[in-house]
Amino acid sequence: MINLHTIRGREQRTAWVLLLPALILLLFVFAYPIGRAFWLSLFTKNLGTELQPVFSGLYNYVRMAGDGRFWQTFWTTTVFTTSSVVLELLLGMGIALVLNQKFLGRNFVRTTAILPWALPTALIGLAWAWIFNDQFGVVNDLLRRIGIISTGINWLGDPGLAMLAVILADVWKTTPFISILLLAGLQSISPDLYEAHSIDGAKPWQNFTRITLPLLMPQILIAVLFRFAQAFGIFDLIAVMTGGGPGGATEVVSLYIYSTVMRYLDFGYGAALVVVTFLLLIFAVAIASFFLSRSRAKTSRA
Amino acid sequence: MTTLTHPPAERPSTPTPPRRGKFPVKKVFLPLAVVLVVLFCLAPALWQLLTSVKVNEDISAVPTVYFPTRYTLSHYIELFVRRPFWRYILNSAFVSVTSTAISLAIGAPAAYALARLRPWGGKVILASILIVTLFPGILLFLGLLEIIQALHLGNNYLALIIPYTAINLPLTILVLRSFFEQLPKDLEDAAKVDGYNTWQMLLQILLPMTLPALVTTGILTFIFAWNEFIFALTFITRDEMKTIPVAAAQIGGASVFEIPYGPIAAATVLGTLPLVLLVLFFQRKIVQGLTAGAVKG
Amino acid sequence: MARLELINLNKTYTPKVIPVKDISLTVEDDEFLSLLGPSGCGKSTTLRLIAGLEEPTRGQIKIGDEDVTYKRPGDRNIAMVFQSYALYPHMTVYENLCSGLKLKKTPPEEIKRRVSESARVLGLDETLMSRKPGQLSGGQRQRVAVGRALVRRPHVFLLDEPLSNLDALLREKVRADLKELFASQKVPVVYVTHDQTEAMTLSTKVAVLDQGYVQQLDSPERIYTHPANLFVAGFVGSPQMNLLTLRCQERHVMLGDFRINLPEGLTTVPPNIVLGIRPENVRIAQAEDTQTVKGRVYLVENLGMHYLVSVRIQDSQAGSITIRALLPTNQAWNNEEITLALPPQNLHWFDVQTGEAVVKRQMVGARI
Repeated sequence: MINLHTIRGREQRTAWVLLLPALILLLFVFAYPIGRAFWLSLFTKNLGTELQPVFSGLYNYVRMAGDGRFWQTFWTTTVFTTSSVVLELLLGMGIALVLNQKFLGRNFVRTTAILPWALPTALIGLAWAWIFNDQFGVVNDLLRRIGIISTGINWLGDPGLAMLAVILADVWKTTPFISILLLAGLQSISPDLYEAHSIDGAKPWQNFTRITLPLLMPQILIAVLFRFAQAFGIFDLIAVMTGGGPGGATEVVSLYIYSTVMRYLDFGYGAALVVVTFLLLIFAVAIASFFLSRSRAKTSRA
Repeated sequence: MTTLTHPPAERPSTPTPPRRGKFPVKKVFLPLAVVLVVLFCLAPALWQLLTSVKVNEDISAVPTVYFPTRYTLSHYIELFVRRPFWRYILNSAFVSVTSTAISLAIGAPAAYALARLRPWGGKVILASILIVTLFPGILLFLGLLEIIQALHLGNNYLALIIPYTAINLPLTILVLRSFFEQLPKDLEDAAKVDGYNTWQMLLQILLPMTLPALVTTGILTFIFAWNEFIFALTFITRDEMKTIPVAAAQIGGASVFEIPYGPIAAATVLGTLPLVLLVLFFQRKIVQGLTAGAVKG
Repeated sequence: MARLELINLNKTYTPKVIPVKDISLTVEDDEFLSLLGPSGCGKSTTLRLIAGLEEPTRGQIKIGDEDVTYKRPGDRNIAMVFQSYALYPHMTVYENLCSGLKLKKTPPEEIKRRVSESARVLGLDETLMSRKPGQLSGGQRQRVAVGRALVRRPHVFLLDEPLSNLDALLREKVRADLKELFASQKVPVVYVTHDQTEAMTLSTKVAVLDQGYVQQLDSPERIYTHPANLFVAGFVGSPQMNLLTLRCQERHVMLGDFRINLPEGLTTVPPNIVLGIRPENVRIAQAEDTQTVKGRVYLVENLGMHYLVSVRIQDSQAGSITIRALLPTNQAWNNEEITLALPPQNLHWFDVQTGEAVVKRQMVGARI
C-alpha cells in the first residue's frame, strides 16, 4: 500500500509511526468508552440483575422517555447552559472591549482575567458555596448592610436561588476566558476598517454592529460551541456547591448519570443516558459547524 | 470681512476601537470598568485567602467581619497535622507533571506529522481531534470505570495519568501543530540535505526551537490535570492518594455539625497557589497558547 | 568522477500545476551550470528534485552513474546552499559547519581539518566559530552557509539564489569570490538564479528555463550571441533586445520604408517574421553601411557611459515602429532625425509562430 521505495512513501510511513501512539491513546480513552456506552445501553445491568448484563434491546431508551427525573435534569441543564453561555458571551464581549483599550496596567488586568479560568473548579465551587452561605456568607451580609433584606437568604437551600448561585459561579469562572478569546479576535481586526467606516460617517455603535460583530462571528461561534459543550457536561461546580439539590433543583444531566451509575449501580441505564447526551452534543456541533462555515465564507468574501 | 470657515471634516483623531454606546465618556468610565473587572476576577479567591487566616470567631461572626481582627495559621497547620495534606500536594503534582510530560512526548511527534508530513487521512484525524475536545468527562467515565475495575487499577496513579494524558492530547497536538507550521521550512530542508532522519531532525533541530511552544502547552496541560475532578473523585478512593481538589471538597469537621470553613479556605488557597504562580509568570504564554489552539479551530 | 544527469524530469502536482514538464541535461565534473529563468519557470523545483527534497513524477536523476531518483537527500552526497542560508539558530557556527559530517560519523580530527581549511578559504575568522548565527552579519552567514557545503566534499554542489539576500555591493564581491572558489573544486555545480549577470559571469554552461522546459542549454557566450528562441533572446541581455514583427515580401522585410534583406539559407519565406537586434548592436549609420533606417528620436535615457535612444520609424502598416539603440555618449546626431545602421551580422530572425530561431545568422562580413 505504501511504497517504501519513494520519498513520499517513506514520508507516509514516518508520519503514521509518529501518529500511532497518540491515536492509540485517543481511541482507547475516547472512542472506546463511547462505543462501550452504545453497546451497554442495550443491556440491563443493575442490582436487579445482580450486576450481570442482560440483553434488553431498546428498553433503556423507552424507560428514559418516560423518566420524569431525566426530563427534569435535561431541562435544568438546558436552563443552566443557556443562561450561562448567554451571560458569559455578553459580559465577555464587554470585558473584551474594555481590555482592548490601551491603558496602564493592562497586563496586570489580563493576568487577573486568566485566574478564574485557571483555578480548580471544585475549589472555586467551595469558595462560592462559602460566599453564598446562608449564615456567614458575604452576599447575604452585603445585602443586609444595604438593607435589601433583614434575614439571611438561604441561597443554596432554595431551588430557584440555588440555580442562580450556580449560574453566577459558572459565569464568574468562564467569562474571563471568553473575553480573552474574543479579545484576540478583536485585536486581529485592523483599525483601518474602523477609520474608513468612521470617515464614512458611522457612529461607534454602528462600528460595532457593522464591522466588529460580523468579523468576530467565527470566534464567537467557536467560543459558544466550546462553552455549550462544557456547560452541558458540567459536573465539578454543581457537585461541590449543591450536590444537585435542593431536591434536585440543580441536578444536571451529568450529576444524574453519575448517581445512576455510582449510587444506584444501574449501569445499563447510565450507558443509555450517556449515549443520548453524546448524540445531543454531536448534533449541536453539526449545527455550529454549519453556521461557522457559513460565517467564514461571508467574511472571506469581504 | 469675516472669512468663511468650513466646518472641520468629520474625522476621528485616532483610530478608536468601537465602544458600546454605554460608555460615552471614556476617561471616567474606563478606569471604573477596569477596576470592576479586576475586582470581579479576584474577589472569591481573595475572600478565601482572608478567611483562611481568620480565627474561627471571625469566620462565624454575624455580621461578617471582612478583615481579620487577629491572624492565625491554625487552619493551615490543621491541614498538615490532622490530614495528610502533603500527600495531596504530592499526588496532584506527580499526576499533573507526569501526564504533562507524556502528553508532550506523544503529542509533539504527532503534531509534527500532521503539520509537515501530510499523511493520508490527515484531515480526518484533525477533525476528529477537534471534535473530541468537546467531550465532557462524564461521557467517558463509565467506560473508563469498567476498564479500571477490570484491570484493578483503582487507587493507582495510572488510573489518572492515562486519562489525563489522553484528554490533554488534543490541545497539545493542535497548539504544537500550528507552531510547527510556522517554522521556516528551509531549516528542515537543510537538515535533510545534511543527512538527518526524521527522528534526529525532531530531537536535535526542531525541538530546541519549539521550546517556547512546549512550555506554553505544558503549562496548559498542567493546569487541566491539576484541576480535574470527576475522574479523581471516582477512580481514587484511598485518602492518601487523593488529589487536592477532591481532598479539599471532602474535608469534614471534627463533629458532624461543624463544617470547617477555615481549613477548607486554607486548602483552597494552597490548592490554587501553584496555579496562581504559574499564571503570574506565564500569563502571556498562556494566552498565546489558548488563542493559537482556538483560532486554528 | 561524479557527473550529474537529469533525464526527462517531470514534476506534476495537479493537472494544472506542472512546474517541471520535461527537463534533461548533464553537468560534468568541472562544469558550473546556471539554471536561469523568471520566477515560476521551474528552476527551483528542478534544484529541489536534484537535492531529493521533492521526488519527480517521471524521469531519472543520476549522480556518477548511480540512480538516485528516489534516494534520501542525505544519501545522495550532495550539499546545498539555501537562499535564506538556513543555518541552525541554536548551534554555534562550528557546530553548523560540521553537523553533516558528524552524522556521517567522520572522525573528529578529520572534521577539524576540513572545517579549518574551509574557514581559511572563506575568510571565516576563528573568533566566529563559537558564535551563533543570530550574532553574525548577513555576509558572514552567507559564508558559513557556503562553508557548510564545502566541508561536506560532496559529489554535487547545489546553490539556490545564494546572493539575492545580499546588498548590491556585497553581491559583486561575493560573486567574484564564489567564481574563484568553485573553479578550484572539481565538482559539478548547479546554481539557480534569476539574475542574468550572475549566470553569465559565474557559469560555464547556462540552461535558460521557462514554463518547465529548457529553452536553451549553451555556454554563456552562445546564449548571448545565438539565442535559440524568442524567449531566450528577450530574457538575456540588458537593455532588452529589439524584437520587431515584420511582414515579409519576397526576399526582404519592410521596416517602415526601408528594406532589410532576409538571410540566406531561408528555404521558404513565411508571411511574417520576427527580427531581433540588440540595442548595443544598433549604431549610427556610417557611409559604408547598406542597410539603414531613418527615424525620429523621441526619448533619450542617460545611462552614464551610453545613451539609450528610442527611435520611432514610420511604417505604413503599423503606424510606427520603435527601435532602441545604445549609443556611446561621444557620438552626436541631428537632434530629431537619426539614421541607424542595422549590421546584418547582428540580426536575429525568429519564427512568428514557434518563436524558434529561423536560421543561423549570417557570418560576419557578408554583405547583401
